[in-house]
Amino acid sequence: MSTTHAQKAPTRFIRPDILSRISGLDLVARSVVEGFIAGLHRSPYKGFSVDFMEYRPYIPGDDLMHVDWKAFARTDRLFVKEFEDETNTHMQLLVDVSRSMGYKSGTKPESPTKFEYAMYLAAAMAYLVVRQRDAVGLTLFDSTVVKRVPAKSTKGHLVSVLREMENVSLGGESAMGKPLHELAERHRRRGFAVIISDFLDDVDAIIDGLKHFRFRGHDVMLFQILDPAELDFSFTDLTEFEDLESGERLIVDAAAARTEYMENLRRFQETLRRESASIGIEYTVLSTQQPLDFALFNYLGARSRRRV
Amino acid sequence: MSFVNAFFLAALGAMAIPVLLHFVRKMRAKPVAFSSLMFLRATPQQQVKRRRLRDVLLMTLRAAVLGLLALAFARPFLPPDVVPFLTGEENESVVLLIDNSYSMLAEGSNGSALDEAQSVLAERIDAAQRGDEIAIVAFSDFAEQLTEFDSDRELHRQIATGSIEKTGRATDYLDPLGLAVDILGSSQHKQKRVVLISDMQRAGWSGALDNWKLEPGVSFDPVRVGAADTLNRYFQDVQLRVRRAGDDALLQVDGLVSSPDDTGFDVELLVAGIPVDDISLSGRGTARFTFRHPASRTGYHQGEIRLDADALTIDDTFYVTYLVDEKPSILVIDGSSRGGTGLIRPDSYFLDKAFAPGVGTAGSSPYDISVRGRAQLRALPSSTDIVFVSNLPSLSSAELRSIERYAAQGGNVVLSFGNNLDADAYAQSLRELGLASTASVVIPRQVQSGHAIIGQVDWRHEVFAPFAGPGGGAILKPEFRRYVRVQPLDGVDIVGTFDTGDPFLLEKQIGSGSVMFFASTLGNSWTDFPINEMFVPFVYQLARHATGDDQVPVMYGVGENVALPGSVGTTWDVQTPNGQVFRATGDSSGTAWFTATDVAGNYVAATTARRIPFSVNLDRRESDLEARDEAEVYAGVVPPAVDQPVVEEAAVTVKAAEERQKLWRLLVVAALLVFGIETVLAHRGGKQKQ
Repeated sequence: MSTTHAQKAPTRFIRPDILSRISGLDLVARSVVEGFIAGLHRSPYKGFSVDFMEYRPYIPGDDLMHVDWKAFARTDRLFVKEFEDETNTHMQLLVDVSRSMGYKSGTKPESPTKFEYAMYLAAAMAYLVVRQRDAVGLTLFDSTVVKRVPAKSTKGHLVSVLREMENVSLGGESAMGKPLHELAERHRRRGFAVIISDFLDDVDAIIDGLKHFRFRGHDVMLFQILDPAELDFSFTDLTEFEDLESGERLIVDAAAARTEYMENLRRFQETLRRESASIGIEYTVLSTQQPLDFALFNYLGARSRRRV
Repeated sequence: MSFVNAFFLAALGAMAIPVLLHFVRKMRAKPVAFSSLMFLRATPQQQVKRRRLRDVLLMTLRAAVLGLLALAFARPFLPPDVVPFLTGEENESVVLLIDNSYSMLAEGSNGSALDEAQSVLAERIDAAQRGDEIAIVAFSDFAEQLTEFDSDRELHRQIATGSIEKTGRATDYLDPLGLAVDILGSSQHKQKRVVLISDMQRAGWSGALDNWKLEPGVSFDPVRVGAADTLNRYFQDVQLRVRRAGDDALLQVDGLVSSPDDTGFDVELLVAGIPVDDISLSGRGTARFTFRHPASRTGYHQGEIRLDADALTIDDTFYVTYLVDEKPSILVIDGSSRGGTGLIRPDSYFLDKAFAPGVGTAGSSPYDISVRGRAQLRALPSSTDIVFVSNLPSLSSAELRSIERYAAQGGNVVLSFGNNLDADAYAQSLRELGLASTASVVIPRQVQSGHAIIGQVDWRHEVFAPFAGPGGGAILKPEFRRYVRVQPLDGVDIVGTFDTGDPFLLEKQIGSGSVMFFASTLGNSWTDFPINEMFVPFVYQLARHATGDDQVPVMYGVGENVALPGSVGTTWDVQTPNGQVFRATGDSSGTAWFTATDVAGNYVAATTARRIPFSVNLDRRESDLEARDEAEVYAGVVPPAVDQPVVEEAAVTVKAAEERQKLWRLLVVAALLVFGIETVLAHRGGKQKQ
């Protein structure tokens, strides 16, 4: 699923290391989303584009506000720009800001940390959602809720959301169970919850929290952000690993431990995927080297399925 | 252990690279911040230790690979006598021929060719395998075997460093090569090798070697030593003559110097160590010089002719010894009437004209000649060198005793005849002298169609030797209208005969002198010989032969034997140029042989009563340093069918030992092996981890 899509991701998408050179999350979001949408128009993925916006010939009685005058200028015909989505969906972006999200393995200084990547992704999704005239909200959490911005659909609100993202810094240890329960309780209005985290926590506590969300009627989507080094554990030497959150140290013969690590990771992800699927939650793994477009694809797909 | 490319050993420093990397990267656990340790567990301490041990092993193996490769490139080898099993070849019998002729003393930038040859000799000895047998031969124009076949390397090394003497001899390759073949005849091993270490002088390859080849199967290594471009100036030829002009004597030295370049140079003449003349010459090729030095004092003189020093100094001096003798005296006792009549002249007339041609310029003749009456024959003065007795009817007993006494003291008598002859009476005289048994006058036209001519002569005899060359046949032209036929007695040498078969010149030694029998007249009463062009040369040769008997040669070459005259048991003390004194004693023939002429220079031989100086000079052919190259030498010595490497073989020394052992191959294989082990170990370790 996610990895397959990642491998097929078009190369025209902007790489995360390039995004890091763009100052300001609003620009990042705009670049990603506009490029993504332009790509959709050229791509075979027509389903998303018609789902998003379509033209139809003008019929007398249509609101002139929706006439595409640019198209009229080009074609000398009147088209109405019709937005299908009039549901006013509420999306809540839940972004993990625990210290483990600050990890990056890349030797390139422009390679993003998981936290930065999560922020790019959240910003792009917020931009996309607002562009679709949906409401978007933001919640930052580690072991507790650090910041919460209620969902709104105005463009000015998007600026607020992005500002909050830019101003936040990494927090403490992660313990997702508690904040998930808390947030599930707070978000009374049904909506779309996108949780962006590395999910390196007790999987049972996470599942409990997610169940709580589902219980409240939210559609939930999980994006697990992992560094390539976490995905393939490419260490070889005798290494003393230090936990970014707890500060615990462990001497590990990396080459010898790789198999065990990969197996443990696979089990963890499999459990999370299985349990999520069992309660109707989409789970996507993203590498910090993957273009963000891939996550947007997944989001639109999930949103489309939900409306069906 | 030695190395051919020792500079590659510097690459051994590369062994430090894996060690450094290891210490930098492996020995300490690298601290790395990681997002979460939830999927990891600490590696057991035992496993960490094992990992470290494996890393040390890998480090060692990697360092070993680099070290082995560095060693392989340095091409090491072990002294063959230490590790004969590594050579991979059979033992061989080796004859090492080392040239110690004087051309090997030519100095190059790295010392003399002989020094270089000794180094090569030592290298060859070092390169030999333990079981190889080696014989060493030093050679010049004769070969001297210094060792029998032996495996005692220490002995060989001692010989190589201390027993190769410098000589003043020339080179002849036939002798040493022949000796090498003889030595190899007693070899123990199937593999046979001759190593020729020499400057390969072209002059040493005599024509006798054209048809000489080594036996098939015998390896031949020519090793050329000495600088190829050595320039040497030397005496190509030197001729000495002491010329008499009246009472004065003049030493004339004519010489040729071979000069390799256009540089000017001086030639200096020294007599008794004192410079008396010098000439400046220049020009490439051959330069000619002549010294004329007054030699008024009679007796033996010694001197030197010197050239400016060059790369080969030994041949820059030519040693000379010359004799300024008294003016030879000739006495003619003629039975003819003085002066003769008409066209017929007596012997004394023609002899006087021959030996004293400048009538009226007395003293200009190189000879003192006097004509006396028969009375003088009874009291022949011992100071007279030669006496011509002509046209006497016979010889009285007193005259015979006088002749015998005079001859015994070294005098020389020539008997000739004429119309006064009493054949029977003279026959008796000849018998008493031991010359001939009968005598009768023969008129050839009565027995043959024409006059007699000289039919056959001994061309080797001193009298006729000069006429042996082109144009000398004119001596056979004179016609003899009459002559005296005799029957020679035993012990008489027949020097020449008429075409009738009768002898016309006989010689008999009496004491240290001689009596010669000339069968006709030395005037023109019986023959036209005196007016023949060959008459004067003939009588001069007679005089030289007569007066030269007691002179000994004074110029020799190095290695020549010197014959010192005397009687049985005569003891000569010979002082060499080095100051050594040798003793030579007269043998049964009275000749004392001196053979230690190994050094060029001036020698002096002396008895209590006599002193004979003489000079010994180098063989001048040896001074020409033009050399053959090794390929040419090889082709000249090895049978054509034997296809063996030439120059490569010649270069075999320590490198040969290295090439035989090929330790570098073992090292490369070892490096590959270690690399394979390292790869397997590293891969296996990785697999286990996975």
